[in-house]
Amino acid sequence: MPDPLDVFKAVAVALFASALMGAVGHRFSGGRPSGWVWSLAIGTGAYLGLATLGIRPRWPIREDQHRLLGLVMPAILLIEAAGGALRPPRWLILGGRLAASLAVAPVILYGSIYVADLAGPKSAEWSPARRWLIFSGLGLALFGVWSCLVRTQRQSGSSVRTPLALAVAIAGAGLTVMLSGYASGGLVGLPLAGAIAGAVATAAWWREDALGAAHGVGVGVVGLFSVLAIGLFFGRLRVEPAILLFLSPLLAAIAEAPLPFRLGLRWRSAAGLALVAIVVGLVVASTARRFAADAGLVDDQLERANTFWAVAASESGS
Amino acid sequence: MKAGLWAAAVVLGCGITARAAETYGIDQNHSGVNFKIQHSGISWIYGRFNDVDGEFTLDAENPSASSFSLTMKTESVDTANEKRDEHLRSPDFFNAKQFPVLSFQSKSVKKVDEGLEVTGDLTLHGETQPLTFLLKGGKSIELPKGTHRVGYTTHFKLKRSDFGMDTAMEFLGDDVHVEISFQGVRS
Repeated sequence: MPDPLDVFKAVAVALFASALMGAVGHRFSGGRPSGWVWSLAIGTGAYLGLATLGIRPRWPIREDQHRLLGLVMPAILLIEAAGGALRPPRWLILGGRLAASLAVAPVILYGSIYVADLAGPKSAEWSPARRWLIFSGLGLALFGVWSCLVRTQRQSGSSVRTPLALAVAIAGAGLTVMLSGYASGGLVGLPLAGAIAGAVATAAWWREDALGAAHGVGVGVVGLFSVLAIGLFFGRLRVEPAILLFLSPLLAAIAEAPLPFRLGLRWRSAAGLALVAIVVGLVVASTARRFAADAGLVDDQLERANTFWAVAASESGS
Repeated sequence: MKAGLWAAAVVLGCGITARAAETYGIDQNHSGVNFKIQHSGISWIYGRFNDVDGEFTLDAENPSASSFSLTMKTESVDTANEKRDEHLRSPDFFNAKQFPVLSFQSKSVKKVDEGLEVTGDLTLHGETQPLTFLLKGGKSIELPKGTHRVGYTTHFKLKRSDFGMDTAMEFLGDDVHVEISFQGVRS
């Protein structure tokens, strides 16, 4: 496990660099930022944060993590930047989103034992039919959640809610993957979450509209999906927490449900984000407990906690 | 008569040549690949690969024509701690889902005083690096009767960072000490 202080520094670097680049982008775009500002901010922040931890894509690309950092993330950053700059028709946006969604899982799993005959002829774990069924299912799931989140973002009227919900989910996914036997894979999620939070902070500062902030959703949801995919297929992340974490940002949309009382935009956003944070927190806590139990830490921790409370009680009594 | 003698000599000669280069399959039950790595600079963690396979060809007349190939399944790494083994199989270390096999293929074999000096390519974690080691032994026995065996032992040191395995360098050593002992059964 990496030093928590180093991780904290990396997240802080990602957040600050992203906020700074976002501010520069807002300034140069004359207060009408587009997808490229979000891509520039998140990309700069995430990669600087990762570099702080010594994580960078390696060439030639051979492993899942390097395909995520060297192919998937740059591609989605470019797609969002181009989408914002060129303003393509709706059918092209949806087509591009579907194609990108279908491509992520095959890229992440490229050349692995699931799809390649690495241990002899016909040794791939998935048959061609099963492979395409799984890839189609994963791609459609990503497309569905991505589309729902973009819709939620546009309808919410908030530039903060959905990207921040994604940042919370990515941070939770990173921690969960780290606690599931793949420390360096989960670590990727933390600077990415910090970078999205930095871009959100700038958008909030400049009072960006919800439409512009939708460009941060694509990068966030693909990042979340990818971190969970490497944890699931290359680490020991279980399916249940992966699904919960992947779907958790959708809870931000619940705040848009009709309520018997009036609730302002900020309160709706706060309620939506609180829901996301609760679910993500529960998943991380449950995984941490399982990790501690596997490592034989639970009894020691309980003993320490009991000692702490016993000392505290005796001191307050005296 | 002379032609007959020549023919006999050629046939015998061929027979000798054929016997000179003999192929052996690795006997998994009597072979092992063990390693040790320093933990936090104060003690050693020992491990092994439980799934080892391969074959070698020995040419007694011309040792440089001999060859050795060895494969290990990274999934079979065993340090007597299942949780640690699972972590070792993850992309933090071996990345068994991406690189399921660790292999060595010799490129040259040279007879030296102490045994055979074998040079070849070691492929680990998707990286191939040259490796040279001294193979000692070469004693042959017949066990059980009719089954010809020959055994070798070697040890060498490699740097895991040379193979892109540079996670947790602050508390796990870079040098990995490897000891291999194997028996081959003549095919």
